[in-house]
Amino acid sequence: MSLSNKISRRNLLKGLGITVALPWLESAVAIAAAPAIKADPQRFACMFIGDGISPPQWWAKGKGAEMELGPSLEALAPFKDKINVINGLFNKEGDGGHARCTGNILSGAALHRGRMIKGGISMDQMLAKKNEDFTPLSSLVLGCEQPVSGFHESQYSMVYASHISWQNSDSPIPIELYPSLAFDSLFGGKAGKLQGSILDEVLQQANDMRGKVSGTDKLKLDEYFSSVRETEQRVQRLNKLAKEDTPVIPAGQRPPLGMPKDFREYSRLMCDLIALAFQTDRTRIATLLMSRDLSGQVYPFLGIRDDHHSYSHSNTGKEYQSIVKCHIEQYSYLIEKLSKMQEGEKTVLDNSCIMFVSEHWNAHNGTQVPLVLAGSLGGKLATGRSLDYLNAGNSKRKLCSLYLSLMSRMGLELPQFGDANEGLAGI
Amino acid sequence: MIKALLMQILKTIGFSLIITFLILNDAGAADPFVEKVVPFLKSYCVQCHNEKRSEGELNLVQFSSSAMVAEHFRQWEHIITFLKKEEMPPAKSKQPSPELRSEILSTITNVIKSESQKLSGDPGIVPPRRLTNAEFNNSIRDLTGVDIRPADSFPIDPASGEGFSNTGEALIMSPNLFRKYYSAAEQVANHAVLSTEGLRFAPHPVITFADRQKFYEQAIISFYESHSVDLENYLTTLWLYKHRPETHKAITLSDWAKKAKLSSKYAMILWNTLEGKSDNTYLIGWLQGKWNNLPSSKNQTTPITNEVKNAVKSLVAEIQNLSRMLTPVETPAIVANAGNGPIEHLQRRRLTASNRDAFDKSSLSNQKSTVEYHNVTMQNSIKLIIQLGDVGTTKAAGNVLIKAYFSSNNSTIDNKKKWSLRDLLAQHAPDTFIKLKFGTNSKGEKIDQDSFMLNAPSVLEIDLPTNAFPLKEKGNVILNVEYKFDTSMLGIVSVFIGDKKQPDDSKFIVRPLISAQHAVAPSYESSAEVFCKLFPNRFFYVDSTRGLSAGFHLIEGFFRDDQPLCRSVLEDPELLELNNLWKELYFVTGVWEKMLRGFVFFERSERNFLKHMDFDSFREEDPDLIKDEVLLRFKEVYLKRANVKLTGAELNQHPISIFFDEVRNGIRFKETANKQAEIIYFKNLLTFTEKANRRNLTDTEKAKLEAFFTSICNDKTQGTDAAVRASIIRTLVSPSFGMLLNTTAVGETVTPLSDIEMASRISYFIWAGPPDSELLALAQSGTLRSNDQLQVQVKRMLADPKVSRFSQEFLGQWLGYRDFLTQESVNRTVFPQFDDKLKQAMFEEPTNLFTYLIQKDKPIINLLNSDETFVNKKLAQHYGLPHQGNAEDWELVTGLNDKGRSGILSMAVFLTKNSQPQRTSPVKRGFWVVHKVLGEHIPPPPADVAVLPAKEAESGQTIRQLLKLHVDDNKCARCHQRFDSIGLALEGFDPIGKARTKDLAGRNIDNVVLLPDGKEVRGVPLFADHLAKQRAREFTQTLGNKFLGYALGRSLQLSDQPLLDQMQAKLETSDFKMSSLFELVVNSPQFRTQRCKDFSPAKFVHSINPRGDR
Repeated sequence: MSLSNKISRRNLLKGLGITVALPWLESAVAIAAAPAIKADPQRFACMFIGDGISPPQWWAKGKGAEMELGPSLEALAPFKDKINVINGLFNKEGDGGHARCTGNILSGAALHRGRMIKGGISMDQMLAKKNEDFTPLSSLVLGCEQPVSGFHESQYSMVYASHISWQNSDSPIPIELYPSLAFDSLFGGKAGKLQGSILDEVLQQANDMRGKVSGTDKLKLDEYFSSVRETEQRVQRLNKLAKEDTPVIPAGQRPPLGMPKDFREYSRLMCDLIALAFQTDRTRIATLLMSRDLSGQVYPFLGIRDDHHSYSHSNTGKEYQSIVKCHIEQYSYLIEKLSKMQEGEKTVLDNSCIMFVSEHWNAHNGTQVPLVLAGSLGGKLATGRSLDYLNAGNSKRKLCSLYLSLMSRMGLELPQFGDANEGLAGI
Repeated sequence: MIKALLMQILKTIGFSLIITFLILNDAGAADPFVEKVVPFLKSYCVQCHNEKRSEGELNLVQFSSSAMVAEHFRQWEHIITFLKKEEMPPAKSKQPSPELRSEILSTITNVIKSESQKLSGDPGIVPPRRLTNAEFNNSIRDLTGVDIRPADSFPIDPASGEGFSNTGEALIMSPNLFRKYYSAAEQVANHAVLSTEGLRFAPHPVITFADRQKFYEQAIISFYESHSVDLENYLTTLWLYKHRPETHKAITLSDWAKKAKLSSKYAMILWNTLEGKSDNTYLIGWLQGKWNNLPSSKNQTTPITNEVKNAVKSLVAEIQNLSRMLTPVETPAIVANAGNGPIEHLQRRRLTASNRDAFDKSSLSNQKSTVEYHNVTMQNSIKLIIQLGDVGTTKAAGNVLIKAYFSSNNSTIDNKKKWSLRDLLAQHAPDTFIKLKFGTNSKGEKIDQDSFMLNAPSVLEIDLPTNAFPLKEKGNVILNVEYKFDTSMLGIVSVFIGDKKQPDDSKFIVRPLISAQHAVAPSYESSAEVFCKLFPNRFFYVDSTRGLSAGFHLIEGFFRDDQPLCRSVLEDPELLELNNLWKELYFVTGVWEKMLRGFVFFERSERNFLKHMDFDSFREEDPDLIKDEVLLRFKEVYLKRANVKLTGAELNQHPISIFFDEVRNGIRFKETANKQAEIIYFKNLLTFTEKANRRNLTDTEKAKLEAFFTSICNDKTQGTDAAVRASIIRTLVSPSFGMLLNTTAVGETVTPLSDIEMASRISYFIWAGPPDSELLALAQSGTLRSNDQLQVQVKRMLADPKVSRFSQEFLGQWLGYRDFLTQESVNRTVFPQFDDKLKQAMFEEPTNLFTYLIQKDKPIINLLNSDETFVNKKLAQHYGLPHQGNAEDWELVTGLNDKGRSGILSMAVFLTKNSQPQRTSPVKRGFWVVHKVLGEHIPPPPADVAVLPAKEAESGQTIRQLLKLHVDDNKCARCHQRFDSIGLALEGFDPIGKARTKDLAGRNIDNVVLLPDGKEVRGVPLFADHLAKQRAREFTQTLGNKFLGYALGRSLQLSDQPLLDQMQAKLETSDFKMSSLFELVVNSPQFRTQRCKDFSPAKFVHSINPRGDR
């Protein structure tokens, strides 16, 4: 299956971290239909923290309401029955230094050394491709930290360290760092505007030409004309919705320009956007890189002065623990937000799978990845469990097996993904 | 077919009647169809064939005029057949008299014939259409210069008309397909490279930083590779020049070097130094001596002997060794650790880069040398000789301090790897040890305890027992010696250290030890400077893994290290080209900003330098970081925190200043270049759009494009890059690009196509792609449509390689192999040799042969029985034919017949396509020959046919025996006897077209065909010959029908028959040359005119001059 080329095409604008699918007729139908008869869409989001977690504090025991959570995960206590804490998963190609793991956290692909960039398409983008016809945007790719490039001493490009979403093996999706621009893209913003004006111009041209051809010839041109017009109307409709449909679209909620200096404020704005996008079905797939690998993120509000990565070397210390807790709080914030969004009998959270993951476990060690899932994919995924695969054997604890299972439950059946060719047992 | 049928009927009726009818018709008399045929139909036919009860899907009531018969002439051909065979009216119904039947038959035949004449030359209905997928890809390729193939993801084009996809009725557009058009346009736009000099297209997408970097980095690296200096090559070329024969005496060195594809600039410098007389001291003297001592030419015909080659090789090795010692030591280009401060790193690289061709003076007074002793355990002792001698004519003088130690990489008993000479002597040669007075100089002062002093001139010889080195097994030891003058006095000495005495003292002058103040020092230095300039340690540096990377830790950046190349090798235009590539690399990647932001992250996070509060306002993520005032302030704070207290020029030369100034300049350059480039981009976009639209833009269209482009450029959230890409998309999703469409003239008859319309029509016909600049220029000047010009253009276009696109589209669809790559019925586990490469080769073969026949204007009938074909290595192996060149090259080979092959019949692509996964299919193969190649109409088989076994090995009977069942069954026999036996002729080839003598069950192959004349022929060559001789007309008529249908992009109509007749005649009189068909069709009124808006057959004037203006 070669999705790579097809997806790269969507990526029109440099620096626009959002892949924009053309809004199609199908979605016009979907939106026009009454919400009650519309099947609840399944969504997937991934929140990423670079440089690992603080292992002694990161654990979970038991299930359901009786579940006990380690100190790092305390913020998830209100959602014990909505989450799965999964320990012991292994990303084979991700067990390496800073530059050769993050870039494949969602693909499990082997990364290429040297100046040629080569990884693999990430699972969120596989899902995005599958859903592109249903929503205006195929995915939201957000970040709270500027990507770095250059090289790591291991001769791996730092491009890998800064991107978790990959549209094909050669190119990551540029990350959108500006909440306001992400908002614009979601709600009739710049990409829609640009498409709109391109289509508008083409429509004019086609119309001009219609005058120059005779009756039978006109039919052929009309075919073209109406194909453009249907597309154009769809874009217009979205743009209009963004301005007028106040009950759904929070026009006043456009985030301020620029990037907030405070990490908590920054990541919450991004979480708000994901929640809004899911609630309004603008997209069903999102990733948020809260901090990259080798992160330079600073947390002055935690009373610590050095940057994220500096503390990660002593990741059992209280400074690093406070950083991890802070990230889990952001995760919890998104879960809470989604859990309050009613969707028929269920909530948006119930119809989603929100994943929290890091590339490392303990002091730059990738022998297992810390991972939490929230939401039940509309009943397709049991929740309220703490699972541990650490002793299951390397072939039975593959991170990519989990991805195969998740994709399958979202209707995307693949024979193989990354290093896995079967789903994760017991998930 | 039409013609064949008509001729047959005409023969039976006689010719006189037609004339009568024509006269009547022309005189405007009553319609013979209405007069005679309609009453006949009423009496005998319409009871069953009416609008209510249309038996056999035939309603005869609807036909009310001859014109209507003409319109449905294919249906009437069938009616004629039924009437003639007396199958209709059915036996139980009322029957017409034989005379009446005959009269009606001739009336209908004549009506058809006369109708075909009446509208002869009618262009017919050619609706506007979108480009086919192949045309779309070809258009993008011709437009961008790169093969992006965006239409590969489109759904397959439907075919109609005469079986081709370029037919308007079938090529529909839908919102779904339009969406793919939009994506395709985006894909193409993603390939746009926005350089400072304009817009171009890369073979890969150029969106992300890595993509942008890749494009220019690869260009720069391949520039370096193609301009690298191979000293051996230069010296050999100069040697050949020196010994050039008398006949070449007049040739200049510059021309000589150019002919050898060398830099004439570097060759000249080198030549002048080697042959120069002015400076002949020290290194240059040595070099000239070596040069002059190279063996001289002995033989004018093969001047280069191995002796010369070896001498040059060893000279080059000596030069390179010297160069390494005389130039400064390189600093590592890549320092990948967190301690690597970017500013210091850049400074180190700058120094290395600028001194690659400089003489390192420190090497004069302080030198090192090593001697390797191999397999020391095999001997009892080793010898160490230190000679301090004269330097040329200058007598040796001075005291030399020497420090030496041995080392080994091999394992030792006591794990010791290093032994000082002092310790060794003390233990193993106590006399020498005492004599050398380690640790004191000439004045008796204390020095380093491992050093000793020697007075020049002198020779020191030491024997050391090898048991001094307790190596576990056999191994090597290395002597490492450092030596310098005792500082107190002036000195000059040549130092030789080795395991035996130096016989040749010429080397002594190349690297002497000289005190800086010594009188001959300047003279030696100047020779060393000339030498190093000529022989730098490297001409350029490209890191093997990181390419042009600056080598920072975690930061993106490039470093240019090529000064010797620029100074001594590149001519001005080449230098300009290289400078441009670098400029574009910086511009297109926007690396300065990238580097700056990485720098801020790194200095804060890894080096901790920016953790000081003074730097709090300089943030990696701050968009304003690149503002000039911010950068100036940043530089100031940085200098302050780094404690730099310099001023003026000194401050400007400080690495911190250089770093910040370079970053600032780079960012400003990007901004200004961007602004200037906008104007160029717009011009490029105009040209791009005109090429895409295949015509000039009107002023209004230009203004609209400009308004569109400018508005996006000026939109702060979009910018130039987005504007260019959006404009490209706008052009490519426009119907002006995606559709072939002619404006319709007012009127009731036909009108010539305009020059511009003609340009597209002819190019999409012959090239399956857009008109090139020559066609467009002729069209714009209004001269394309003259008969002569059209002929000239057809000739030119047929000679162009792009004609292979016609071959693939036309022949590929006619003979049904165009979809071969996307479909597969081969069982690869049974036929492992059938891989993608072989499949691709099979696919290309017929296209190559057909293109060759067209371009060489050979008889097209050769397709049937050619003894030559084209093979690449893969296919040659498959066929057992010879192949000489590169594996991918297609070569013309003859001798097919000897291998039992001939023309298309035995081409693997057809044999494979018309086989079952695990057996051949004589039925499919035979059917393909008679139906596709010879154009016989064969109805589909009935539903209840028996199935042959899936594998040849599964059946107890041979395929011939199985097929005999067909002929025994009457129902099957009617058709199968026409092709089964032909398929058997091809049995000598297995399911993937490989020659065989036994089938898959191990039975002997029986490939005998019984010809209609009762003769039997065996195998393809004889059978193909029979086809080419006996059935040529069926083949060429099929070819003609298909050709015209493809050319016109519509179904054939009755009025095309006269042109088809002409084509047939022309083929037969021109020795079956395809060029005659191209010329005839391009010149035909069908091709050159179109119907007007209110076309009416009654108003049709076919004598209209297609060249005339509207």
